[in-house]
Amino acid sequence: MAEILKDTPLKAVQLEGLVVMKIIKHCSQVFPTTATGFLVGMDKAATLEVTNSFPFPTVDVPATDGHHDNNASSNLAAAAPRAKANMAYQNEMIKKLREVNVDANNTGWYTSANLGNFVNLSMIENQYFYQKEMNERTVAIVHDVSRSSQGSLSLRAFRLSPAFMTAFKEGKFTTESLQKSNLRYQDILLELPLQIHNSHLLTSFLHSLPNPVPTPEAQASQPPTLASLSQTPNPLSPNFNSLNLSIDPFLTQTTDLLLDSIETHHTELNNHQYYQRQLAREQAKITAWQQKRKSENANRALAKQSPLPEDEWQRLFKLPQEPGRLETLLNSRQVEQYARQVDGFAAGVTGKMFAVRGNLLPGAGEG
Amino acid sequence: MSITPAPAATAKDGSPIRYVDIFDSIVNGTNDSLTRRSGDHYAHFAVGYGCGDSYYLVNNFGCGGTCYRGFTAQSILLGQAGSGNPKLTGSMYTSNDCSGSISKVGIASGQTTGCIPISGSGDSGKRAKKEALYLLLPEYLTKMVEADSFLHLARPLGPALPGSQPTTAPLNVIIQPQAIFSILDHSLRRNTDSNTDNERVIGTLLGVRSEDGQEVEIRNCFAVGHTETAEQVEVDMDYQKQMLQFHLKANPKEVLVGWYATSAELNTFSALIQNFYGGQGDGTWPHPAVHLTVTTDAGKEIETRTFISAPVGVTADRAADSAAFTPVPHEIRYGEAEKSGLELIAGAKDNKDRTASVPTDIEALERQIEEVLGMLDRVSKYVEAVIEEETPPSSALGQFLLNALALAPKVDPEDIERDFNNHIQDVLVVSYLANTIRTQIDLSNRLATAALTLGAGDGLGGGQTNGTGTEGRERGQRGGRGQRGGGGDRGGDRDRGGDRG
Repeated sequence: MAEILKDTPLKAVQLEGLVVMKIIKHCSQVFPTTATGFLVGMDKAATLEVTNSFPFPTVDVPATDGHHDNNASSNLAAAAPRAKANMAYQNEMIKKLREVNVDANNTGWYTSANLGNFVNLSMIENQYFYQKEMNERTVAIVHDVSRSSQGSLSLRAFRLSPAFMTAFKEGKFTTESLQKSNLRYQDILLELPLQIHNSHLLTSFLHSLPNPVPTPEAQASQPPTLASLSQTPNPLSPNFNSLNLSIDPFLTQTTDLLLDSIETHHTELNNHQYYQRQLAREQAKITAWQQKRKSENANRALAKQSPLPEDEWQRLFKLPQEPGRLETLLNSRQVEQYARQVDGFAAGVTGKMFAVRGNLLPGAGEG
Repeated sequence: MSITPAPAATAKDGSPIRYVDIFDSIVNGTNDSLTRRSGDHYAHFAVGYGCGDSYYLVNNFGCGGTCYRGFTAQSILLGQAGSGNPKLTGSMYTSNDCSGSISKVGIASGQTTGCIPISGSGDSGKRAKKEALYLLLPEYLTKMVEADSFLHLARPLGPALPGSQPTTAPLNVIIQPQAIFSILDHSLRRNTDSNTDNERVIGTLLGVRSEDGQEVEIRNCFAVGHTETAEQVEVDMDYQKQMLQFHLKANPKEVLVGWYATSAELNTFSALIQNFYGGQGDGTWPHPAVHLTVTTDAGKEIETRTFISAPVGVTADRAADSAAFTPVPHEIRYGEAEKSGLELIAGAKDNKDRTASVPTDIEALERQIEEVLGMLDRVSKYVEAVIEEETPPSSALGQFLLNALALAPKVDPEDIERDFNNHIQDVLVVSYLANTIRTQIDLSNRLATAALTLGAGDGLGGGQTNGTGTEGRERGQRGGRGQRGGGGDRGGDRDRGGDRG
């Protein structure tokens, strides 16, 4: 049975409402520091059901000046899923959870992100660690805090592709190996469709919360004063963040992030060019040496002497190591992510802007 | 660890007494019982089995009790009822015969007529003074919980250590939704073996307390295993301690605030567990432990209630398994960040399969616009109905609508046109640039890996056999391409700089 299960690839991820709330709570609490935690649940054929989540322990960072402190704790938190101490914590916790009938199987981990900046080495290493060491069938859930505050919730589920797993295992990301494996940056992460699922009890609870649309009886009762109207204790009252027209913060932040990516790209390119120059220089030296040896041998042949070995250059010269292309790959994936995000944003915002103009200047929109 | 409490008192009419109703006696250690007859408006306090040996009979006493503790006697009288006309009041007295009133709270704070002096002479008088009666009939309190207004009852104080300042300040409880969600999830995962009679599950609540201790915010919780039979209750204390440590590691700011159970019933076991959570050492002492009940009975609405407790009982033994639960107001509060999540989860409530998928930005926008249109529709219908004189007008609503309409800005058409154009250009330029960068980087990647396919298949080994400059030329070519890609990016970079500047 287990064998059969292993063979069907994961096709979807189903998050319990509880998990959604817990992730949101944790991520927004520690924002803008990265938050990470682990997920437990069940693996049902092609669907991975995530039924609970727990944050990883926070590590106290020795307080230096404010800015560095923030960065350091962020890095620590980002590396938490593969830290050894946390492994023990997680295993202990899962053991405990089994006692109270929670689905105590490791199903992955979650992390918070800021405007989609989650494709980095740390995230890849975490997910690699999970898929390799813990359980092949695990996912990484990414919750984008800043995008969620713009209205719609941003939760995405990712896995590393099998091709990338093998490549990462070998640890070789040279041009040659990339060529052989035909790995492109689009193939690093597989995104799985995500669904939110509620238990019956939760559904019943949600129904018991006051409905945003008042019932006829409620409508019949008149509000006594103006002040009583402005109190809205209703938890399910609609949220109009999506209709917000603040464009500039998003654009500046995204362009900043894009600039960062371009910088990374440049560094990588420079590294590569440096390597190529080194290589060319070495190659030239080798050729010179080989020609010299050849002519020497020709002379020796004339002098009836035994020829000198021609492959000694391998000992004498050392070719430089090619820098890995992994960072470039990830960076490209990250840029793609930003571009998609901007596309999505532009689509929504242009619609809203035209609507606003149409409202404020009736008749002007047709032109 | 297991705790075996003494048998609980039962009401004579067989109805469950939901609030802790231990009649405490230290006289001869007899098992005394307590009767209440809410319908008859009297409380009856008796000695011996079968409710014989009448002690006091308090007529016209719908809801209330008297608490007498130690030598610094304090009495509390709650909710006195005239015939058919309940008057809620709480009074505190310095002496056990209801004299020397210190404070009165409540709706009818002048009412003292229901108070029956606890006094006597001889043997019965001694016993009367030694015994504590704490009787709360649930009906009034339930009503209070349901209503918006709350009567803050000063809870009787427990034995205080010297130097500590126990507080009787009112307490507000705020519950975050994920705690409720977690409790509901736990309730679904309870053991269903027939051996144990686990109607409810319990767990620990974690959260933060405000500085003055008047507000408790429940943020988190975890399940604790327990088994409950008719005679005894077992709570896995080791488990609770270890889990608490685990949680505190991850959330150092949160502290233990209390516990939850998934049934509205408060019984002797509740009191036992409550005293454990509220105790010194591992418990919440000196703050009161909050008890949250969430009913999860099938086919009924889910109700949440919160309580704090006060110790009752004269001897240490009795005090361990009794507590007076006082309801406190609570509120389920959602943070801004959780709103979008909750909305999504709530979106699944009307679906048959109870699932919802994460919407894209555009979908979310569409949904919200539809919602706004629906609201406008409702409002205009209402306004029309008022104009047609079908619905009574409300000046408050009218004022509110007028205020809303007044919010529409008055801007020059040219200004709008200019702002509109500026912003739309910003958006489009950034979108265009982002995509250009993407293409550039994609191109540069492809060129970096594609150049070698054109070159000698045997890569670095080529230099050795072929010897000559072809390889070098090829390499140069590739380098050139790489540079061109880089140049393109730099160009994009400059463009952006101009745009931002």
